[in-house]
Amino acid sequence: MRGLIPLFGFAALLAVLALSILRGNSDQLSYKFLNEPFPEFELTELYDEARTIDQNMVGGEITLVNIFGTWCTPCKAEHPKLVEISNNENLRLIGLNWRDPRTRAKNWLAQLGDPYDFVIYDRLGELVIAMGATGAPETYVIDRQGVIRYKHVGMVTDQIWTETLQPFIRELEREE
Amino acid sequence: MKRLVVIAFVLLAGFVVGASYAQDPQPRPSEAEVEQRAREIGRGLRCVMCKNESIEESPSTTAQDMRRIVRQRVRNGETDAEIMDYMQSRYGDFILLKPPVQANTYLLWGLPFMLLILALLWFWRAARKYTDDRP
Repeated sequence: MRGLIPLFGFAALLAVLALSILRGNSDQLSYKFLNEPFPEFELTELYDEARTIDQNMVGGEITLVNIFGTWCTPCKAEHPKLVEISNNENLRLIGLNWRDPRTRAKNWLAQLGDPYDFVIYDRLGELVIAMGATGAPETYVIDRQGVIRYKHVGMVTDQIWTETLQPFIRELEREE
Repeated sequence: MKRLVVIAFVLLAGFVVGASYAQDPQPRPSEAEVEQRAREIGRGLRCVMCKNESIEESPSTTAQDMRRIVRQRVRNGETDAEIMDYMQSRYGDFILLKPPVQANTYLLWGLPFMLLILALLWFWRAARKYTDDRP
């Protein structure tokens, strides 16, 4: 029996490490800006180079901020869902276009439909890095105070929308 | 009188220009210096897409943008610590390939030493038992 003590010790150590890894992988737990104000930035609008957009234009109402790029295949796959949300919901959608030439992004939206109220143009990833994003697509729920309340990594699918994002937004609407 | 005013003005202008140069403590780093420092900093930052690679090694788009931002900040005269702090403020401790020693990493840093001590104790006890058992 005494000979099994090291084995038990090893198993306990493995369990602790496995738990740490599983907890650490959660996007919500590790996300630095969760429940923090949207980071400061100053960039231009995709369609209107003369129009400057900053963090103050992200708050004011419940908003979805969606990071996308024409080079990103999952972004194309999720796009019809965003168009559907834009058509059916009274919700502000802001696009954050990342690493695209302006013309290409505009053509892409003209072709697939533009669900966004306006599009922040982030050619060099300044805001993407400033907000601690890991890639595209990513979608953030912002409350009326301009605070990031939820982060979704990956595509917005039917299931993600009906089971996660929509209930979360409804809850926010009741809360505020 | 007019000449005196002109001389005073020229002297004052010279003083102001000189002082502004004197206040610039560091000349702008050369591109080779920027590259060298940026690589060192980048080797300490984890790629958030690939997890086990630094941003210097990773081909991901996020890592490419991070490399560009690190270089820009080096050019702007920020110190290594300031740049690391900025990245940490965006991505948390996860971005650091070498985790800091703090409450939630005590186990990580202390475990190898604890295991070493346990192994030495075990070895000492086994060695004592071996010498005691010898006829």
